[in-house]
This record gives sequence, C-alpha cells and structure tokens, in this order.
Amino acid sequence: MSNKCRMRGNEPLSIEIGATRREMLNRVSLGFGGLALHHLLSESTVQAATSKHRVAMLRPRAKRVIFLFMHGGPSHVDLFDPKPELQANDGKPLPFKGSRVTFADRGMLMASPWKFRRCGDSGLPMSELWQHLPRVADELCMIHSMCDTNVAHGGACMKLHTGDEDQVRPSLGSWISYGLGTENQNLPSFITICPTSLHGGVNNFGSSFLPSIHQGVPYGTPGYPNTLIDDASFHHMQSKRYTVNQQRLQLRLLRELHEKSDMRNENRLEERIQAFELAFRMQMAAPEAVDLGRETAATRRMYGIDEQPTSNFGKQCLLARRFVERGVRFVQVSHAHSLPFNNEQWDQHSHLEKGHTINVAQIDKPITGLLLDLKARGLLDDTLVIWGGEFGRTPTAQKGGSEMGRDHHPEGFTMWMAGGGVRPGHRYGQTDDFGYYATDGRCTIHDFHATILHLLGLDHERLTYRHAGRDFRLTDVHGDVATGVLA
Amino acid sequence: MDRVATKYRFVVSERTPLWCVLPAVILAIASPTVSEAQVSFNRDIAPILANHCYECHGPDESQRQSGLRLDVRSSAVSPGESGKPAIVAHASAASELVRRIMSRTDERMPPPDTGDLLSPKEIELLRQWIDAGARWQTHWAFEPVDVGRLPEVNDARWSRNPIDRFVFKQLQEHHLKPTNRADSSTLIRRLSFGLLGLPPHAKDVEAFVNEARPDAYERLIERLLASPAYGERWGRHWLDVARYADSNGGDENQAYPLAHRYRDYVIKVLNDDLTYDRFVMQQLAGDLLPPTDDELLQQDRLTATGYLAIGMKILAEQDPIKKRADMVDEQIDTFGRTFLGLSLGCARCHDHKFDPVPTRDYYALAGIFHSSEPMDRPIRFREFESRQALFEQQSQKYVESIDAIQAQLDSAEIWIDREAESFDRGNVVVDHEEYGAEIGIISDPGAQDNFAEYDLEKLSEPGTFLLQIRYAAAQARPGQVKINGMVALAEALTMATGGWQPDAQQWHSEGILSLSPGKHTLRIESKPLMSHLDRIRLRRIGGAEEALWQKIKTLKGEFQNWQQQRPVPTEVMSIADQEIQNTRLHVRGSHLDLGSEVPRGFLSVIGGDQSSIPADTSGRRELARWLTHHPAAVHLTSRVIVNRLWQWHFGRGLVATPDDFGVRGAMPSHPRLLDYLASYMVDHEWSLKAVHRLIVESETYCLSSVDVDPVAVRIDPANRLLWRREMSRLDAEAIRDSLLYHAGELSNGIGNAALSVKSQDPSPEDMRNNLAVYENSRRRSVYLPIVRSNVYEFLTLFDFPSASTPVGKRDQTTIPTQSLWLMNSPFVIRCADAVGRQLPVEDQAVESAIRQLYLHLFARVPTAEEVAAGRSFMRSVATLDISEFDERYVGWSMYCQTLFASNEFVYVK
Repeated sequence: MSNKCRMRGNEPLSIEIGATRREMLNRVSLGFGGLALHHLLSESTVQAATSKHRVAMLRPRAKRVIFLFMHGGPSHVDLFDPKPELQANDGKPLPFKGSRVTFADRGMLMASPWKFRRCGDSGLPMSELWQHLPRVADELCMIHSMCDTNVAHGGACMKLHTGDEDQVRPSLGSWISYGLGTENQNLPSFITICPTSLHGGVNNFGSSFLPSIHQGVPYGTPGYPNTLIDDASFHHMQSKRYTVNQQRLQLRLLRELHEKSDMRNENRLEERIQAFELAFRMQMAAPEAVDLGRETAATRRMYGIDEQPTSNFGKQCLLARRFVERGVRFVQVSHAHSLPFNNEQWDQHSHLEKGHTINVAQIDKPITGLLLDLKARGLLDDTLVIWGGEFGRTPTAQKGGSEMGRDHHPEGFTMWMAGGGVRPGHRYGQTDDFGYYATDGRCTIHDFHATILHLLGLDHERLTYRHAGRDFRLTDVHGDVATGVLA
Repeated sequence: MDRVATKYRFVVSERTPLWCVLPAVILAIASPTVSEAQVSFNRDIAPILANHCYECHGPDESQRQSGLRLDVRSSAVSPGESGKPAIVAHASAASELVRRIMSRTDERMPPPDTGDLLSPKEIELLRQWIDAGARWQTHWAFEPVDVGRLPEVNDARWSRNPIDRFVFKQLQEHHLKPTNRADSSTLIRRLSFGLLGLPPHAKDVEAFVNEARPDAYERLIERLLASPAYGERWGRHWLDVARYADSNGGDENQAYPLAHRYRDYVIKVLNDDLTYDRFVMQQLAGDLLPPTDDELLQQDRLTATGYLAIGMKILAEQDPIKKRADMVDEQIDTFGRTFLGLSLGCARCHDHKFDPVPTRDYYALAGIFHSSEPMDRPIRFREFESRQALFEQQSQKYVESIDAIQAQLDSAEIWIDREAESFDRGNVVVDHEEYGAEIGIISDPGAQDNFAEYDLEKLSEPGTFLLQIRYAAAQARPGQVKINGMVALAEALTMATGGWQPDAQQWHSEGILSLSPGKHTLRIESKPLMSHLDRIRLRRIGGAEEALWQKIKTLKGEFQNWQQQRPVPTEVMSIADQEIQNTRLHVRGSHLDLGSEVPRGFLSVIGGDQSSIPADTSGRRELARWLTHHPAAVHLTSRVIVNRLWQWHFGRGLVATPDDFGVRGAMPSHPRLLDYLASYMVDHEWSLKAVHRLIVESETYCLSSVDVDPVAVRIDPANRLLWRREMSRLDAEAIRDSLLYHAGELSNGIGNAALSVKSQDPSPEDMRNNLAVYENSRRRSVYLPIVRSNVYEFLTLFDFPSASTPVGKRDQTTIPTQSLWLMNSPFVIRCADAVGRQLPVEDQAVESAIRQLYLHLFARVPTAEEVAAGRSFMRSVATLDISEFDERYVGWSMYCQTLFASNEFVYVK
C-alpha cells in the first residue's frame, strides 16, 4: 500500500478530548510546551483517549537549530559547486532543454569568474571567494542536489520556510517548537534575528494553525531591507516607564484580585496569572541574553564584531549562539539586506562579481567564527547549523544588463548543514555537468525538511496537527529523509 | 444489552463510586447524543472508519486498495479480491474486517508499518455494530433537517424558549443540574460584548440593574440589536470567515486599496438584517442579478462580490496557468468552508478521502470560477454619469480651441527641419531597428547625462522661432534646451505620449527661441534617461504667432488643471463573467495532465448533479440559488450558518468544528436543536437577527458561569451539554476597543477608512510608521487595515486569524507575550493614563474612585476586600519613587493598567 498519502488520526473518541487537550496546551504554555506536555496530559488526564503518541521519537542527533538564511539566492556554481564543463563552454548555449518556467530571459552559459580549490582533509571544493570558511570545511556537509522549489522569491521563500509555496502554513521553526518545546522557560523557543518582511513576511516564521506559543519571536522589526542588528530588540520586552519594583507591585495586585475573585477556580485563569509571572521573568532574562558586551575580546574578534564589513552579520551570529546556549530551540539568522544594484541581498541578476564578493565578505568570517565557537564550547555536536537561500542561480547569464548576472534557479542548487548528526566533510548529491539540474540524490525542500526533523528525532510523517479535519504535516504528503546526509 | 449500555447504566446508579465509571462517563459525554444505547453508525462507527480506514478504503478511487471501500455497504459486504466479505452482517466473528483489525501478524489492519492501531474500544464498537446488522447511514450533515416536536419539559424556567427545552431535556437525561441565572450586572456586560463587542456604559448598567419592569432584558436586547455597533461586531465575525484583508499577502504583498468597501458592505447589511439567502446571493453573484433602478442596491450587489476577489494570490507565480488554477482553488476552498462547512480543496488532486466529494465535483465548480474574473469595477451612479458628461463636453471645447490655434502655428514657415539622429555632437545612441524602426530615433544608452547638439545655419538677421520636437515616451523624461551653452528652455520634452514605439511619436511645441544674427548651436539635454526623439523643427514666427503661442500656453495650462477635476467613479473589488468555459479534470491536481471536460455544476452529494447551468453564464447565480433553495443543499447551508451564530455567542458551536461539517468534523452535541435553529431561521425569512433574539433570550444563554456544581464538573467537564455558561476571553478587537472606550478615545464613525499603511516591501521605518498608524487610530478595530503577512502585532498576539483561509472559530491562547504587551506597551499605558487623569487626587476620594472604576470596567460594585486591595495598592505606590512623573495620576494609571490586565477585564463571565 502507499505510504505517501496517509493521514494519521487520533482514535475517534479522542477528537473532542484531543481538542480540549490542545486548548490546555495553548493555555498552559509555561515553557516546556511542545509534545512533552502533550504526552503528560495524555497520560494523566485522558485515560480513555488513545495511548498512541503522534511522534515516534527517533534517536535525536541534534537538540537545536541555527538556520543561516541567505535571502535572494546564492549562486551554487560560484560558491560550492564547481563545473569544469561550464568553464569550458562559456558563452555557448545550454546543450539541453532548460526549465519550462523561468523568471527572466536567459542567455548563454556563463563561466564562474572565480577559481575553486579543495579545502580541508575532506577536500570540499570552495571558490576563492571564501577566505575563512575553508578552516571548517571538515565540519560541513554539502547538499548539492537541492531542487524542486519555486522560481520566484515569494513562492520559494514560503516553501523553504513553511513547506508550501502558495498557502499560509506553520513555519519550520514553529513545527520544531511544537514537536520539542523549549529548554528555557524564560525565552521564546523560536527566535528569528532581523527577519525580512518580504516574500511571505511574518508568515515565514509564523505558526499558522499551530498554537501561537510556537510562532517565531522576531528580534528586530521585520523589514526590507532588514533591520540592522544595532537597531534590533525584542518588542515590548521592557517597560519604558516602570521599574522592576513598580511592576512587581502591579503583579502582586493582579494575583491578589484573581484570588479574591469568583473566577478563581477557573484553571485557565490561574494559568493566565502565571503567564504574567513568566513574562516578568522573561523580561529579566532577556537583557542578559542579548548583551554582547559580556563576550571576550577574543570571541568578538572571531566573529568579526569590531570590524567591517562583518560587524552586522557577526553580531547576528554571536547572538544566535547566545540564544541556543540558553536553550532556544530554533534560531534563524537572516542575511537579508539589499545592495545598491540588486534588490535582495543575494539576488545578483546583474553585478554577480561585485555582489557575491560583498556578500561573502560580510558572512565568511562570522559563519566560520560561529562554527569554531560552537565547537569549542561543545555545542556543535548537538546543534544543527544550516546555510542556504531560497534557490540557486542559473549557470546561464541573464539576458540584458551591462554587468553580468544570473537568474533564479530552483532546479538544482547547494545548501549545507553542519553539526548535530550530519556527516562532516561530505558532499551529498550532485547536479549535472553544468550545474543545471539536480541529478543524483535529488533533495526536494520536503526531503530537506524531513531530514532536519529526523536529525532532531522527529518523524516527519508523524509530527502532525489536526486542523480543518485533516492531519497536517510540515512535509504535506511528501518527503524522504536524505539518509546520506546523516553521520 | 451490550457492554456499553451496561456501563452506561452505572452512571445512573448513585451507589457506584464515580471514579470507577469515569471512563464510561467520558465515553458518554464524548457522544452526548446517546439517548438509546445502540451503536450509531454516524456517531460511533463513521469516525473510526474515517480515521483509520478511508484513506485506502474510502471514496478516493485512486488510493483504493484491493477494490474495497468501507464507506459504501455494497462493497463492504460483497466478497472482495480475497473472496471473503469484509463485513458479514450480524456475524462479526465471520467478518474479515474484524479478523484483520485484531490480527497480530503482518495481516493486521491498518498495516503495522503505518503505526496506526485500533483501540480495544473501537474494535468492540465495530463488532457490536456488525452484530447488530451493520447498518450504514448517510452522513448526518447531508440528511434533511429533522423538525420534530419540541421536547416536553416540566419546568417553567426551562420551557419558555424552545432552545431551553432541547438543552434542559438533555441535561435531565444526564442528571445534570444547570447553574443559576447570572445576575443583572453579568448579563448586561455579557450581552453588550456579545452583540456589540463593547462594554456597557456605566449609566446603562446602573439603570438596568435597578430596572423593575419584567421586560427589561428583552428591551435591552432590542436596543443593542438596533445599534450600529452590532454590525461592526458581527460583521467582523463574518470577515473572519470571508478571510478579509486589505492586502494580498502571500509572496508579493500588494495593497488592496478597495477591499474596505466590502468590509463596510458587510457591516451595513448586517445592521440592516439583510436576509442570509440574499447575503449569500449578493456575495457570489451580485453582479449577475437583474439590473435595478435602486442605485444603492446596485452598489451593494457589486461590492458584495468582493468576497470572491479579496483572497490571497501568489502574484509572482511565473506559470500563468498554475497561477489561475491556484486562484480558482482559493475561491473554491473558501466557498466550501464558508457556506457548506466542507473542505473542497482536497478534491483538487484526488477524490475527497473522507467526504463524498469526487474530483469531478471540484472541477464542475472550477468551471464556474474559471468563467469569472476578479477585477476592480466602477460604480456608475446617474449623478456621476451626468457630471462626467459635463466634464467631457468642456474638455472637448478645450481641445478644439487648442487645435485651432495649433493649426495656425503649424502654418508658419519652416526654417530648420532635421532628423534627430543627424546631430553634430552627442553621446546618445541612434536606433533604426527597434524603437526607431523606419524612422530613426535617438535615445539614451543607459543612465547618463544625455545630450545631442545641432549646429544651425547661419542667421543673417535676428528672428523669433518656435521649436517643435517629435518624440515618443511612455513615461515623461523631461529635459532642457540650450542655445550656445545657455539654457533657453528650462522645461522641455515634458510629455508622455502613450508609448515608446513609432506609433506613439507626436509633435510637441517646446517654446520660443529669439536668436540674434550669426551661428548658433542648439543643444538638447535629458538625464538620466531620454525620450525617443525623431525630428526637430524651427518655424519662423512673427508677433501675431507669438501672441498665439502665449494663448495656447495659457489654454494648455487651464486644460491641465481642468483635467485634474475629472470625476472619478467609486470603484470596488469585484468579479465579472468572462469567457464561459467548462474545465477539464486535472489529473492529480496537475494543470499539465488534463483529463476529460467536466460540465459546470455543484456538489452531487447534495443535489448538485440535478442542476444545469445556461451556456451563456458562469453559473455563480445558479450556484447561490442552489445553496439557498435546493432542498438538499438548504439543510446544510442553514445548519452551517446557525451553528456559526451559536459558536460566536457561546464560544463553541453545537458542531464544534464550524468550518468542517464533514465526516471528520465533530458530531453535533445537540442535533435536534441544531436542526430546530436551522428551520427556525428559514421560517423567519433567513433573518439572522431573529436567530440572535431566540438565542440571547434563552435561559441557556443567561446561565451563570460561576457557582458551578462540582458534580457537573466531574460528569461533563468540557460542558458539552451546556449546564453552565462558559467564560470567554474577549477577542483582540474587543480588548482594544474597550481600552480606547475607557480612555474616552474611541470614535464611533461607521465605515470608510481607506488603507493608510504600507503593505508591500515595508522598510523597518515603514513598519514603525505602520505601527504608529495602528496605535494612534481611534477607530474601532474592525476598521484597522489588515495587512496580510504583517497583521498589526497586537491583533496577532490575541489570536486574530491569519486571514488567508476562513476561520469560524478563533483560538484562545494565553501566552507570555500577551502579558508583556499588557505590561509594557505604550498604548496600554496611554489608555491607563487617560483614565488615571480623570480620577481625584484627594485621599478621601480614593474609595469612591475605585467604586466608579469597577462600575465602568467590570459593570459591578466592588467587594469590600477589593476596595481594600485598591486602597492598599495606592498607598504602596505612594511610597515608591515615582517622583520622576511628579503626578498623582501615575498611581491611578498603574492601578488602572493592572485592572486592564486582570482576568475580569479580558474575560466575559
């Protein structure tokens, strides 16, 4: 029988009870959240309901995720996926049929302006643009066969972040928060640092129909171009008016009024008062968590905090480390500013040389610093680091424009993973001789998501949520774990 | 009697300790319609089959395994591929199905690799059902409304209102005792938030509490139902279902600057109590109704169809066929959930797995929507038409005068006549092939400071010349003209001519040049880009022509000003029939794999196959008529809407899944009450206000939410049988509106607030400006712009729906970020300040001020304890260092803010 399109449900009698349980989950949300609580409730409260758990826990290899999102679409053939045939056929037509749907008009094959060399003991190829990343080449697992997303930024960003290119669905981070909860009751379980407001906007870190406790909390107002880290903060995390002692007085009155009220026996109202007390603890914890001044000079140097052009992205990466260190489950860091000659950071329809040079220079040292730092602190073993954009760029040049560039390319491109449970120093999958189509080990976005969940110990077919009469999954009815990526 | 019934009798026995029957009680409560102990297919069996079996043995033919389907009796009882019938009626032991679900080998069903397993209780139910004869039933929602007799109730309190009879009857059957009637304070607050979404005025509270007349409550209901705020409250509920927003969302978040007209329409017609059948018709096919002389009605009808146009679309989708199919899919899915409580979207790729909706039905509907195109449409009032006629008349006069003078100027002698590309010096490019095909033009090669110079013939005597240039420009690219390096005409090439191609080339008179004898160089400059210049002329003119030139300049200026006053018709987002077409079935949902053509039509399971749509219309009007007139469809349409009303009043529908009446949706907790309400509405000409009246007048509505009976809590903790009123949290809009109301800031204008925030590509600064728009607005929340992908964060925080799909029931979450907002947001503090500033500073007035606050905020008198807590808080505040504020009101503000944050403020008892 086909396994692909199965939906799993609770047993019928638990439908109503399940909803109640979910409401409790929504209401409680005091930190541990996730299915852990779900499990507890199913054990203690609802014996008549199913004892079947929706999540078969696999052996988790990673406990948390840092997703370094490269908005606009970095060019795989110029960064990580060298193609001698492309170099040899510069200016000639693509020797086979290209995609049916394209974004812009496409011209002839265009050789990469950069040389490649093999890095680390594993010999991963990287273009000469990368000056620092070769130091950690042996930690990376390249996935060269990413494919099957949308050719426009919007659809592709939505698909990468939520698994769906045309509907509002819960985001990857919110599914993971739902599946695993948080390890720190005083910080959100999903934080997105300086997100873009484009191409799905807040829906790309939203929770859609999942309980809203799982939505990503932005650090920095979402915007286009994205907020600079020095201007970023959590919204409403501090009172601009009252001191902690003054607020404490208010909270005391709040509890007193509740306990004197005729509504005091209502559990969810007691939980609501507790949510205030938790919020109070959160606003005490947050300033410490985001204070980069507590880092040593050596650490700051490692991320390139005090120099240009790395300061902005370096601070974002360092903040990400501080968050995961404190138990935040999913942190997204967005490289999503704009350049004077392209709208989105990595969207080099023209000015490929200039644009990619600037972009790599901004992130190379910070990312290398992040990986070294995580490793030094013993965090890399169970922290999954993911790098990539919503698609790659065409091996062909874009038509028109005096400064050469490349068009959007969803048919085959590179992302990489490092840390928690992935095979280090490895190249997984490949594209054809020109870097056009993913050929071996094709990894769709659904496969990619299934693999991430797998690394976290979650079975993508069983991490479901009942909404509008259907059990929804991050991977819809698709997705196979890319086992070759696993350590 | 079977085992379930035996257990069930234990509940009735008072000797049995409760804990030992609890599982059975939960079973009974989960299916509270049990009034006889027999297993019911709809209640007990269909959910098991739907959850565990239908994916491979259900309506979806493409996924069906072994040719066996369990949703249809004939297939289930006939010998399958194995030769053994899955089900042998009256003989569970002989039924292959029972053997397989109990098997411990690989044969087990559902297959072991799915991880799915039937519980012992489910297996037992299936066996009992088979042994009792294995009778299938039509899914309850597709059955006709059952209007039986009202239940007899021997209780004066519970027999006045028909709703109460149904509810009380079931409570009695389950030996549940309802709570008392809530007190007047609670009732007026509940009713006011319920019908208007606003707190009651303190004066009204006092009047109502002290009112002696027996019909005080009924009079209050009538007053509130007549308030325009009713439409704002209930309009917003409908907008949740209509997935209303002021921007597209999705990938490219373009503004919908006209969407608010649909919102205002909804508010207006609900206030007018437009009957629901007409409401449905106007939204689906208002544009197709026969024309009427009533212009406002005509406007309403066109505006109503905005319902079909305001959905989210993926605008950057590069595949136009997929883009269109996705748009239609969005319409079908929204339509199905809104009016029928069915998720039709599933049938785009395969026959619905649980509900009897074959793919064919989906594409029958798709043809209707493919034959209609969303578009902005003008509303042409007669008054507008006459204003426009006047405008055109006057415009024509201008054109004629200008043309007459121009003709005179054009008869002046030509001195210089050159092709633009014959320049003597220049950095522009010459094009003979594309934009200059057959005529030759000059233009820029990209952004730069463009120029072209022409050396003129030597002039022997001074002269005055009119410079004329022939050029094309889709957008104006102004430049200037120099003579011998000096600016002669500072504004030239200012016109847009309608295109870049030769067919848009036009002569324009640029201005007058007075030249002395000698050689001159004419230089045309334009930066960074240049129009497409074809030809240049200088005409020699005299004093008379110069006067004409001045006159034509003046006239053109006047004409330009006049054109600013062009009457603009009101436009609305709407839809219109376009090329009428049937759709071909998309195999597995793919537009690249087309099957046979499906005639336009409706859902076959509720009589849709008996209808035919005329060849010359999309069929939207017939669709709406089918929903509200075809007997098989009316049952579902009416049940869905009355359930929505119930849901919005009580926080949970009689069917707990208001957007899903399918097999996997919830069973109705009070099926006969649901049917009664549905037929009551239809009998009352589909009046929604009539249903409101019936509901809010009922004792069930008026029950207390506190003083609960602990026994009832144990028997029916989820309150499915309505033995108490459930407390409900104010939704986001009511929280914000209350804060503004108490701060004295809420404005009560109705409608017409255009989009004032930036939706597409907002920068962080735009986002801050947007936030300021939201926080400074004094309008009711229903009028705040809803920007998809960037909904005002306060609304989202308090469970505002995503606005991309119909939401009949909002979540009610409690999360710490809500607390942070109430503690730290400048908006809340501003509102608290506004209240605090109105309170007295003298110590002896503190107590009376607290009493006033309680009356305003909670519609009641505080207890002595609560007053004492307030006094004590104010004393403690005085000892804190708040000297930086230097104002007594800050103490009050801190107190008010705490009351705003309190449970009693954000919950309705």
